Amino acid sequence: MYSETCNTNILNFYRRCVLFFILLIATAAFPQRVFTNDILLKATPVKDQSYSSTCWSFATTSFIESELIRMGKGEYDLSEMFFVWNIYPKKTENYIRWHGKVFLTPGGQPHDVMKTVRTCGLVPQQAYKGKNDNSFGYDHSEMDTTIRKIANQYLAENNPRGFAKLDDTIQLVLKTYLGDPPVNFEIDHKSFTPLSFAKYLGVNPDEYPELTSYTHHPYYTAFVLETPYNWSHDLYYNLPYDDFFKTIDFALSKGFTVLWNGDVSEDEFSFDYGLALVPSKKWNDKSPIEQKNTFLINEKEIIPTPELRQQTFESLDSKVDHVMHIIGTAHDQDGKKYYIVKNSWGLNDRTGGLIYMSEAYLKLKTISIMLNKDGIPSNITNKIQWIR
Amino acid sequence: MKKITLSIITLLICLTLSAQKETITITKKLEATPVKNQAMSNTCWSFATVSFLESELLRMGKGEYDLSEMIYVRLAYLLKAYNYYHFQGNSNFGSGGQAHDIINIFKTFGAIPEEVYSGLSGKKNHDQLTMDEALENIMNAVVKKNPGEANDTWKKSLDSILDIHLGKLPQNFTYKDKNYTAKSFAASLGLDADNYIELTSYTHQPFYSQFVLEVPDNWMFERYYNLPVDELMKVMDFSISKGYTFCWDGDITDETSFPENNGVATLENKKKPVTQEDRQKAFENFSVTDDHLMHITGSAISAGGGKFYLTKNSWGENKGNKGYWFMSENYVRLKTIAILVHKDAIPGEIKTRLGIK
Repeated sequence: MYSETCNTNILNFYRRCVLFFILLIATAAFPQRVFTNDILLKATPVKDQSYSSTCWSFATTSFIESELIRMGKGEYDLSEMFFVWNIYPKKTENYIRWHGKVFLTPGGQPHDVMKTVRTCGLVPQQAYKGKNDNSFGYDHSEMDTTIRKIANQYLAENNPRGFAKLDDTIQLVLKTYLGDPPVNFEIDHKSFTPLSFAKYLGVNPDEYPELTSYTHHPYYTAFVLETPYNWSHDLYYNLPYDDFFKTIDFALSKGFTVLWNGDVSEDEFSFDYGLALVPSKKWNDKSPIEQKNTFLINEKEIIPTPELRQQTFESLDSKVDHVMHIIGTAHDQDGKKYYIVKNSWGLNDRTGGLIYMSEAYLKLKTISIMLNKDGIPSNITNKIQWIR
Repeated sequence: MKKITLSIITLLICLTLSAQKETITITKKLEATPVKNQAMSNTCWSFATVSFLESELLRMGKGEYDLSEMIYVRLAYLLKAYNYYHFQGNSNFGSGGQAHDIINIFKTFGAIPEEVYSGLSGKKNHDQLTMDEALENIMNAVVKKNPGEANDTWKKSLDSILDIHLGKLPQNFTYKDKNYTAKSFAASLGLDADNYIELTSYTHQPFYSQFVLEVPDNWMFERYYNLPVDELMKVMDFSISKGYTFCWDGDITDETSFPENNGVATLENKKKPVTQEDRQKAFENFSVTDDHLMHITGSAISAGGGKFYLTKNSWGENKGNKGYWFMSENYVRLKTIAILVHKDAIPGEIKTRLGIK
């Protein structure tokens, strides 16, 4: 601490002026971080989920598209809304079966998409846009509200007309807002059903487990991840901290992209700058210029530990609110490591819609991942108690 | 008195009693501990499953134990609250539970004798309605807060309420001149929690696979094995014939088919065997819900040849037939939500189909 004398105050004033000018020059010269990509795996163009809570579908579809490229099947543009259309009646039914004691949400998790691939298949975007007009983007707010109202009515009346009737009703709503998905469609002059198309592409949903890393359950076993978006109560495999992050790096180094499920609610997650950081100094303790500089100048970040991960999970400071797609790694001019993450919020000026997520952010704010089983190091795979 | 009860329990005691219409004769009665009374508490799940574990100990020749039900009620409440908080109010937080709650907590925490932890806190009978409401009020207030705003003071609040109503958790205790922790006491019992599985029978999920049974009291999201109803009934019969009791979860809300006074539960209006479709329909229009757990300890037969299941309840000895009910085969076919059984109480071919080793 400085002693509060006149002299040091004047000295501080000069120091601040000099610092300010240096910053000004630095900012003008280096308007943003300079990233060098270390790994950049193939991915399809960035899309925009717009006014729909369907990040889970956009991210998982993007992930499947990258898997198809990796498998040498070529580049496909698959329909995100096909998954939304198929999963909504199931979600509503589940809500009533649980007597309302479960989250009825337009949101979801990656396994929602994989389960739909298993039971209903896949459809290309050109065969199903999932909208009934030519308006820009997707606006599901009215549809989501309508479905919630219908579900609550069924619940209040003890499901009087049965689940078949409920499914029909929900499908009518979906038809109104999304349109009906095709029963058959043609691709490369061949005719497909959604299921035959999934088979043709060779996407096997059983190859994609979800992994997490927390201390409140035993390691290498599966548990029902406690997030409301896990409305189907699916199982996630629990890995120790080091194994979990080693797996992400291993997968990327072997050419496997990774689906990311986590928290983007902090101010240090910036779409405009394409940056996700966890600085040590809290956002609210910063002056406006310091807040802006967060995205311009490297500052000290939180050092994540398994304990801190657990602590932020317990306090809900880290909770599931977004799903994205990790497609590579990079470093900045200071040698700091980032993960390149494909988002579904359209393009921005600086990074083309990609998010450069600092390693510290990844380690603190990732709740779970999904990846191809072959992307997990074999010594870790062997320790996991897989459920058939 | 307990010893007297034990000594009269033998196979094929022909205890006859007058039911409303016809005489029911017990054909098999497996060993069980005395009937208890859950009184003013919604803890049938703990009473039924603890009673089941006590019968397991008798079957294994470990002697008669009186284990604490309320230790599981206390610990389950904290786990339930944890889920409710993390699901941000989108799960079930209440006084109800399932048989696996006890099995899972037995595995992680252990067991405590009733004399060490009765959960009565000086009261004569269990009365938890005020406690249940207080806990629910706290948790509902917590989940309404913005995430991050709530700290872990709710855990302390819950703990102090549970301490007042049920009593503090004993760190270690003396039982029959030996010092134990809950864990070492459970180990001394020699029960393996992994031996017990739950079975159900519904068509909205594939048979012979496991699924998270969609009933609100499955707040732990446990996975149940799914069997056709005929095979589920086969498991029950096989279990009793092999000397294994089992835990029963089902519906008793209909006063006419499950009367309190005579202890005979039948489906008066349903003479034909209940079909798989009947079960599914009743489950889906909520006329059959999981609202009660009991402990099936034997079988019986009516004068007309009707099959019954001898069922130990937790409503005291003054209700039913000295605390027991006779549930008809058709009643069980319709009203069973699930059962919890020992793996070895399942016929081999069904075990194979389920992929259980």
